[in-house]
Amino acid sequence: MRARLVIAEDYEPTQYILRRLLEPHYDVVAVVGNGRALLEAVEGQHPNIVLLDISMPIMNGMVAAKRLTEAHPEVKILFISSHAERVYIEEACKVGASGYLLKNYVERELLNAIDYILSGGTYGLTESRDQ
Amino acid sequence: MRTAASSPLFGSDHWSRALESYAKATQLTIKMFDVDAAQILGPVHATPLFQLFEEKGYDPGIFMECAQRCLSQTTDVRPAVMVSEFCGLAVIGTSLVLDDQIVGAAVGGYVLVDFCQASEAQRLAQNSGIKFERLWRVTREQKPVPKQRLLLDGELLQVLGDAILKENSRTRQYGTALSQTEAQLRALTARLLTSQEEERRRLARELHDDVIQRVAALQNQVVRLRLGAEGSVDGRTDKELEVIENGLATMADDMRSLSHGLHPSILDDLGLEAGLKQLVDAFREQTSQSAQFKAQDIPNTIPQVNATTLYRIAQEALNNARKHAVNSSVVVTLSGSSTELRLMIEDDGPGFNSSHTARGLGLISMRERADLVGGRVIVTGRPGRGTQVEAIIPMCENL
Repeated sequence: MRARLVIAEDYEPTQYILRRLLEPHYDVVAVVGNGRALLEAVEGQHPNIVLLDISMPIMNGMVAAKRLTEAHPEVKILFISSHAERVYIEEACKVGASGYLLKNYVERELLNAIDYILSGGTYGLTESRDQ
Repeated sequence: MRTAASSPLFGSDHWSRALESYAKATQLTIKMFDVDAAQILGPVHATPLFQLFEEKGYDPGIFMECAQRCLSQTTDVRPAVMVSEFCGLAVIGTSLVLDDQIVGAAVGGYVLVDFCQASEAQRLAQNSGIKFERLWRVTREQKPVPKQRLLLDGELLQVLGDAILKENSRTRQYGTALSQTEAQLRALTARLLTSQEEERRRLARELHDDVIQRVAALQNQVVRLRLGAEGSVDGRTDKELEVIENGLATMADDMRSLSHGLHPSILDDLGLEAGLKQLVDAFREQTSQSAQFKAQDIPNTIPQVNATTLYRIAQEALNNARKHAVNSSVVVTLSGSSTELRLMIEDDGPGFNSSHTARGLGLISMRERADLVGGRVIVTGRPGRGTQVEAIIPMCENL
């Protein structure tokens, strides 16, 4: 059975790239543009994993992740972000994420990252691409 | 007794210094009165006769009487110097005039006038309850003064008083103009800092939300091209594509740095605590100096304007530590309560001589920023004892 996946990303070209990459392999059950919409989508769609941007309007990805972990600890979280500073990765760990991937490495690493995470591992949480 | 500070015209060092010199030169005790005849300064320089009366609690009332007469004059003509006498005892007084208005009076005494009759002195002794011999001895010690001299002393007091009043008034006007200019300058600086911060935030957002994403998309496209064309393109083309891919990755990193330098979006995304931690991490990595960040009792929500202010102050203080406290250990502490936030940046470097550093631009900018949100910055340090920069700002409404 294919894993169910929600994308939370407010930049449309990135949404497009992610969908194109993921749809052949997973069920992309919702694509939303902010953290609050993500929480609503999770309630209705019961995904296995969410791909989450950090800087988003209305509710940013970090706040959404924290609430999601509290309400649905079974849903895996993979941050897809443009922020490379280590402190972002540390915060991602704190809010219960399983992975952290920079947007410009999506094409090369995303499918691997999701595989790792769905099989119980973590991705990108220990190394940093700090400036 | 009211103090001289109760009126800005009389509240200056000029008065006390000038009156002190005048009183010593003329051997008079001086008192000053405001326009309502209330004493506002003095007695300056207590003469032996004045001391004797004070000791006995005796007041012949001629200081006040003279002051009242001076104040009741009109300024049609320059008011004359007044002399008040009682049993051979005299004071001289003058009104104080500024812009054709009587604003007070200065009175000097007591002296026995020359050729004072012994009978008058005896009457004075009787009235004051002082033994005549003692009174006579003290008046000899102080020396009786001819009336003409007294009038000259009065005229001198008049000239001196007018000059100081004019000077004080000018200083006050200058001071008012200066504080108005200062207030305008501060408002301008505040507007400048706010609009600069806004503009930087806008540019940083533009870079992050648009340009960096587009570069990331391009890099992903190149990767897609390379992976899709695997085996079907020659090694040289693939090498070219790899160069483009790596170039785009470097460009994304550079733009991230640029965006972060313009505005720390980390404050919006993760908050002040994470922002400061990142600043300290970066400082440690760039300088190889020991640096530590501590946070105590941080409120859950910190208004954006407070966060930006403290972040910028920390940035400036760490820049200073980088320049002036090479090889030192740095500790940055953020603590808070529901009413205020405190940020302390301490190093154990060579410290500084406060009189030299007080003019530094960095310090001015830190103070301006704190001032903008009603806070303050205190910089302490002594040679060999390190430097401490403390910023305290009240929690304010989100702007």
